[in-house]
Amino acid sequence: MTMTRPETSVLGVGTTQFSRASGRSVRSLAAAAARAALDDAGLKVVDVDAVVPVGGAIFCDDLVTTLGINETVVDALPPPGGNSGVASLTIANALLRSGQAEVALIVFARNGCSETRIATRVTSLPGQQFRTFLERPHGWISPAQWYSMIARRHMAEYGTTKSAMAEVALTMRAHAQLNPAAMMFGRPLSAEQYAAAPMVTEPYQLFDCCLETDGAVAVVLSTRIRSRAGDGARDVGLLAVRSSRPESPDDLTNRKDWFDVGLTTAAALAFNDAGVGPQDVDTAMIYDCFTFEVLHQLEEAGFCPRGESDRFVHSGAIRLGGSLPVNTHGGLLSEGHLLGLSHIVEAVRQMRHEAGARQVSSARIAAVTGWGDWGDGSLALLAKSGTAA
Amino acid sequence: MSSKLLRSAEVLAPELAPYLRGCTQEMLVVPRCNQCGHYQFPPRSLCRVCGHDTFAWTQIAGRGSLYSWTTTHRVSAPEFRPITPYTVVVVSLDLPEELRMVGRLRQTGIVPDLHIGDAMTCSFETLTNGDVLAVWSPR
Repeated sequence: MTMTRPETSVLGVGTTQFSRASGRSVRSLAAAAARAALDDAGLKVVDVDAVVPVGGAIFCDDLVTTLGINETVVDALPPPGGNSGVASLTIANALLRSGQAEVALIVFARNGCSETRIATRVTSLPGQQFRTFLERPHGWISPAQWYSMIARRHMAEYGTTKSAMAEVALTMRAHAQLNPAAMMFGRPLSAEQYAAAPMVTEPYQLFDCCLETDGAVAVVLSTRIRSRAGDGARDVGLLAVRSSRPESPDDLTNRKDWFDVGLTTAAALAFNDAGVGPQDVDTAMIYDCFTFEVLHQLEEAGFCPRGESDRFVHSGAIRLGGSLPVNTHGGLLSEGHLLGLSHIVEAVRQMRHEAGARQVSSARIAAVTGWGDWGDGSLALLAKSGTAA
Repeated sequence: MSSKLLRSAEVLAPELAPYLRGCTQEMLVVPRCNQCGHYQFPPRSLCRVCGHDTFAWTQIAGRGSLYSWTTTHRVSAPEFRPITPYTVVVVSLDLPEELRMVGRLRQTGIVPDLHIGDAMTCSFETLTNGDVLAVWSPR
């Protein structure tokens, strides 16, 4: 395997507690996560010269005074939606590699359970004319309903089963039992409980759907490397990151191929940029807003052929100890919904070999996907320090 | 009774208004490009195939086949709670080119046994607020 030298590294990650009711403002959560990530990076607030706020609940100006960020800082917003966590890496990477900034702070914060229910976010998505006049009048209004439509089609075309979706939900919950920070830590889920849960929108039952969470996550990227100061072992290289869209990103119904999504093209580009392939990835953090979306993305990222995710997950591949442990933190389904930035945090912990009981042994390359808004998608590839050729 | 949905579309999304006006007259109409002749849905300001910007609104037969569906049992929006469980379908229209529409399955009180590929037919449902929706049933 040949790899290009990573030019951007993740130097620090930080989170708040993940809860149902934080009792704190979104600004306060964001500031706390940002401070934790900068401390982790060994950097100071004055070092930050780019800010990428994610998710639409927090902006750079909310942090300038609270944290003491330089007023001249560059800020850039990724579009809304579940793809924005990984898409924020593409923006930070572009700012860093172009030389416009040396230290970029990505921050997401939301009281997504106690304040703004996640479902209300759909009113800020693109293509509102289609949502308002063609879809909402019929009651087709929520991500669970959009994606269940894709899941049903996949079940019919490829024979994908509800049992494969159960395997995703049960795996995420089992992984969360090894993550004390997970909202579902200490609350295991049995196959019987999964099957007995209320139906939301067929084929999705309650445990096919992600959690809603109050909390914040921050990630610090830089073109500086700490190895010069003798502390480089915790730097995690960003080998590649790409984001893309399906052929009709504002409308699912008349998209020619429902399975050909942003990730399909983004993953091919990212693997090409990095000079590695899906077979080189040791662990993957897959954006798991619903269970079928994990199956769909395993296929489109290239971890298994299209139509074979059912067999892939039933082989035990995505469990710790399997060939591709997925969402070792528990994911959106069982750790908490932090718009996928928490997936980047977990990939960084795995690449630092700091994941404790859920560490994937001798892991050197991690993949992180983003997914949102009927098929926007992205793939980031992160590498353990010293992995670069 | 007039359709609030249509009046709102005339201001906020004029490119969709002819479709909604067709529904109030119990006609299924879709835009067909005046330059390349392709049908398109959902309606857009420019033709998806050739980029041309004028269309002839054409009545089509409300027939198609079931592309996918979901039956919703729990919904956060209060206006849809009284009708749960309800089914939303995507129908592939019987046209020379692939064109799909999303719509509610007409409620009959019986949960139908649906299969992808089932033949579907369109009818119109007038809601208590005056809006008219194109809904679908197995045929």
